[in-house]
Amino acid sequence: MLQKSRKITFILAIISAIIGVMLAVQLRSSLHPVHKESRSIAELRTTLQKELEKHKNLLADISKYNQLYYQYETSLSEDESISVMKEELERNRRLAGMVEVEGEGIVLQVVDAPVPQEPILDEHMQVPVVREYTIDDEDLRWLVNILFANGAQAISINEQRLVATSAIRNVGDVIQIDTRTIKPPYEIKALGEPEVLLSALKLEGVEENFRLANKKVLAEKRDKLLIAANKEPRVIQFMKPVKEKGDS
Amino acid sequence: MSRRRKFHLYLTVVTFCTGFLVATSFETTKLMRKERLNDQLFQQETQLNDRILSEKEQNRHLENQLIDLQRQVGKVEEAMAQRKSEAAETLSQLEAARMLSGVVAVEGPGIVITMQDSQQAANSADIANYIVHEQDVRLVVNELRAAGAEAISINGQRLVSNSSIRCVGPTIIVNGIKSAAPFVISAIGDPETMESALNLPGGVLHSLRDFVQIDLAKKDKLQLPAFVGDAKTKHS
Repeated sequence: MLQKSRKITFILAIISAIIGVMLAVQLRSSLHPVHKESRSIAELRTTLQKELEKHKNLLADISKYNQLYYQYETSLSEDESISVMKEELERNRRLAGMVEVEGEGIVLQVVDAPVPQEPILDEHMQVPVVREYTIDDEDLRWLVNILFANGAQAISINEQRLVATSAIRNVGDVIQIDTRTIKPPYEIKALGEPEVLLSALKLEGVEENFRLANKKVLAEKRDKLLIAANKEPRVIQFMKPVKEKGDS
Repeated sequence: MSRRRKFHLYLTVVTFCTGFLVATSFETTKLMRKERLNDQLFQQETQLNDRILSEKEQNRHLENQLIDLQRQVGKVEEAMAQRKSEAAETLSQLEAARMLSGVVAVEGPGIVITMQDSQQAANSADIANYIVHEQDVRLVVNELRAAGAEAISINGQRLVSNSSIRCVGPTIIVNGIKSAAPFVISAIGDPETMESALNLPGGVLHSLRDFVQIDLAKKDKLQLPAFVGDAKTKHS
């Protein structure tokens, strides 16, 4: 009898201890839901970095306009201030792509790849049919976009300089840039840091993508690359500079 | 017998309490360690957030300063143009070049296109089909350019001669600045021409509309911001 009741006491003690622990854990976790991170630190850091970069750019812009203003104010004669204005004009034409530019960069040539002649191992194996597949406008847009995204300053395709309003599109069987037809083989010149541009092309798998179209991309570094000016006459019909501070 | 039962009751209560205490103290130390870590992260996060906010504020301030400065320079240039015809000629060229290069804010008639992921995306088997990709945005921009758009901006970022359009997840990166959906493409040009070019049967809108949500609105007057950061461009 005594033995039995002691056993019961023992079991009872253990069970109630377990229940106690469970209750406590339950209470804890329901009272304090785990605090979740709303945004990752890394993302915030990149945001900050972008803002800092913008800050730097803004300061550079401001100092440039300050300098321009100072030059206007201090020019002794009318002729001198006109030459200041002409310099400013030249600078802006360069930004707009209306002047030829020179620097280091890369030249890409998109050429037909030789169809690999694989030895026929198995005569029952079907010979892969190589379709006539050509590069379309999106392929070129994609390539150009990669180059610009990796710091290319200026790009021309078959000596057609790309500017802010250049459209690359299929018209019938050919590709047109603005209204000029470009014909294969395509030669793309890009001004920028050659190493960066070349590694970007590798990273994005440009070669593989063009191989699907049976094309080979030959890349070449150049220390001195000349990119032609965009000579299309551009008529401005609709836009005008904002004089008043806008609400946008 | 009743004594024994009483003893059982006490024992139950005491062990119950002991268990509770043990668990609580264990949890508390664990939680404290976690909280300390969380606290550190949280502090770092708020610090970063604060810095971003103040930086944004400063940038806005600087932007205003830049616009004021541009206006001042504009006044001097106009005064010069009035005095001398040669200056006037140069100035008109300069204004055109500035607008084309995108370093000044411009206004004019145009259209606004809003692209966003389709509502069906969530309950579709092939989600990739129903979200806006970078090539979709490029396609629309390209079509606008072909239809004679003179200036284009995406989510407030003016497109210049070396702009790129990239998508990472649900965000779009234009000129290195990230922004979230919906993607708003504003273009200045002839609204009628641009609209009809986009709406051509078998055209851009026609093929995209089945998959993503695109809205188009013609505007009589549209303002596009200037591109900031042209000083960065080397090779000048």
